[in-house]
Order: sequence, then structure tokens, then C-alpha cells
Amino acid sequence: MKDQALGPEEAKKIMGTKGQVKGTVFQTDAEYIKRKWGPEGLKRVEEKLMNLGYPIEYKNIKALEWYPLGQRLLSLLATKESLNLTDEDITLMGNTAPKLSFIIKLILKSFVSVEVAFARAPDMWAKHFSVGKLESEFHGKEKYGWIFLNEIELHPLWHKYLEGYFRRIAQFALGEDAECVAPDKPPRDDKQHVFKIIWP
Amino acid sequence: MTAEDQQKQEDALQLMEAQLFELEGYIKDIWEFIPIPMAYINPQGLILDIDTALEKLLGIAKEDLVGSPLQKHLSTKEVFPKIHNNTLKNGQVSNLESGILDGEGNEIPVAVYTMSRKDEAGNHVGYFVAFSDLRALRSMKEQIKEKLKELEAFHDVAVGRELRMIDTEKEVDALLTELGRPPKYRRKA
Repeated sequence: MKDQALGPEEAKKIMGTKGQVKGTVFQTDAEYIKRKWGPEGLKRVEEKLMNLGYPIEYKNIKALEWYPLGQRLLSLLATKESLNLTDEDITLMGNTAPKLSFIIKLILKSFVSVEVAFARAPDMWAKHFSVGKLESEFHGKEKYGWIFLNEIELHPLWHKYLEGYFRRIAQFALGEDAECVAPDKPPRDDKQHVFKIIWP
Repeated sequence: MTAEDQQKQEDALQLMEAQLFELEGYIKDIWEFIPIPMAYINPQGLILDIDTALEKLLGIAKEDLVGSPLQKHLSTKEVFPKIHNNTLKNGQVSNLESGILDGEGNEIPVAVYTMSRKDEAGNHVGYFVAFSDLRALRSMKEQIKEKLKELEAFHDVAVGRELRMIDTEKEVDALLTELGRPPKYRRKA
């Protein structure tokens, strides 16, 4: 993905993205940034967002409140830019997020198998996002599964984040190293996004 | 369902979510406070959560421990089945001596304790594992051993000296008797 400096015009366009997200997502972002880059790292991200005209005070975010989805995207983009991250770093951020999220781990405690994980994935999405529908298909014998995110605009950077995120959920359930690979199935329309999880 | 019922349901759900997050805060505080290194393990043997004490003991960041297999952090691979399988079978393990590796690969001797958790259907959904650091206890044992050795050595010296004194007194008495004088120490020969 070609990196373009995030400016106020682009930020305004992103804030127009439809949908809402639970505050807990921002709290997880903040915890990750603080653990890797310290409070100074989080401050840099906050300053970037302030300069764009869409400030986020992460310490005041309420876990259960709904926030604009555009703000979630800006949080990711500002993190990438102000901390000089690559797309792979963002995927790693997504991969680490479930480790830091209490709610996810609470749900994961009941994931006694990868099949259960795939079955529960749609509920997990709906708990955090007001847009998009997650569907999953589990193919245990062939050792892969599909995750379809439908009816949603997905920013490419967010796609990168989710590759890591879904991979970690599968890893927790599998006890082995799962991968999120490029899907060999095309999306049915431009509002569907496909993720393929494979495992050995 | 009427609109009123739906609203009641949504309010109830919101209340439950609020309580859940409050519970999260409570549990997070406990896991930051409790001084015993602990983790939560899922049925696949993966670490799902750890407390601050374990992070400090091993010198490994939480995000590097969570998601990794417990077996990876034990100094001998053979002990993992004892911990994992016995916990799932018997519900617990108590005072099992083992070693755990810190971030630099050094072995820390520990006693392992576990307690399994089950869901309402009786399925194992994971277990808590606690590690009691044995280094202080072993160090104290070593120190006591050293002190005992020193005491034994001192005892040997003291007793030896005492015995030599007794022999000397007997000799003196024998010499006095030879000289026709009364014995001074009255030690029996």
C-alpha cells in the first residue's frame, strides 16, 4: 500500500465512513501503543489526531460507548504515521490486540476448539461494530476456514489490522500456528471482504 | 415483541455490559496486585492471561507470553503433560516441583499449583496455574546447611579441646600421685 501523508482533507473523508465502534477498541489500541512506545508514543498519536482536527483522548474513552467508525480508522492511520510503522507492523498490532482485550479473552475461554471459534466469530463482531456482518465457514478436514465481512467499507489499513486479528483468534483456539493468507475466492461485491485462515 | 419489551431488553443488555466492564476492572486490579506469579491456560495449553507478578518474575512482556504455549516456558518439556493432563483429569495439581525459564533462558525453580475451571456443562475450559518461586527457600536451605557445617566443625574443635584437657588433667593427677601428693583434678584414669 502506497503511503500518503494523512492530511485534514483525507481525515474529513475518513470521518464520513458509516458505522460505529465500541470504545474498547480504542482502549486496546492505546494499551498496545503504551506497552511498545510508552506514554510518549501515545502522546504522539494524540497530537497527530489533534492536528488533523479529530482529537481522541484515549484515557477518557468509555469502553461501552459507541464512537464513529471513522475515528477508529483515524486512530489506526495516525498510529501508523506518527510512529513510522509499516503495514506489517499494523498487522502485528491486530495480532496482539486479542491478547490485551479482556472481553475477547473472556469469550475465548469458552473456545474449546477452532470450530467453536469460527461459529462464535459473528457474535464477536456484532459486539464491537454497528456495521458489517461477519459470516464464517469452517472446513476442518481441509484445515481452513473463511471469514466474510459483508456490507461494510473496509479501509485497506484496517484490512491489514484484521488479518492479524483474525489470525490471533484462530491461534488461540488451535494451539498451533494459524495463518491468514490471501484468499483464493473473490469477494462477491465491493462491500464484501474475504479472509482465509489456514492451519497445519 | 413490543417496542417497550425491546427497549427493556436493550437496557438490560447495556446494564450487563456495564457490569462486565466493571468486573473487568476488578479482575485487572487483582491481577496487578496479587504477588503470586499466575497465568490462565486454555484447554489447548496456551497462555490466555497472566498477572503482573509473572511478567516481573520472568522479565517477559505480557504480549509475548499470552498466546504462547505454557510448555515453551517450562525448563523440561516432560513436566508439561504432568501439569496439563493431571489438571484436566484430577482438577488440580499441588506443589509439583519444576523449573520455568525467564526471558534470558535461566531456569527458576518453582513449585506448581493448578486449579481447573469447568463450564456449566462440565467441560474443562481451562485452568489457573500459580508458580511459587523456590529460590529463596533453596537459598535459605543452603545457608542453613553451611551454618550447620560450621557448627559441626566448631563442635568437633570444642569437643576435641575438651577431651585433650581431660587427658592433660589425668596426666597431672597421675604425676602428682607418683610424687606422693594428692591429685588436683580427681579425674579417674
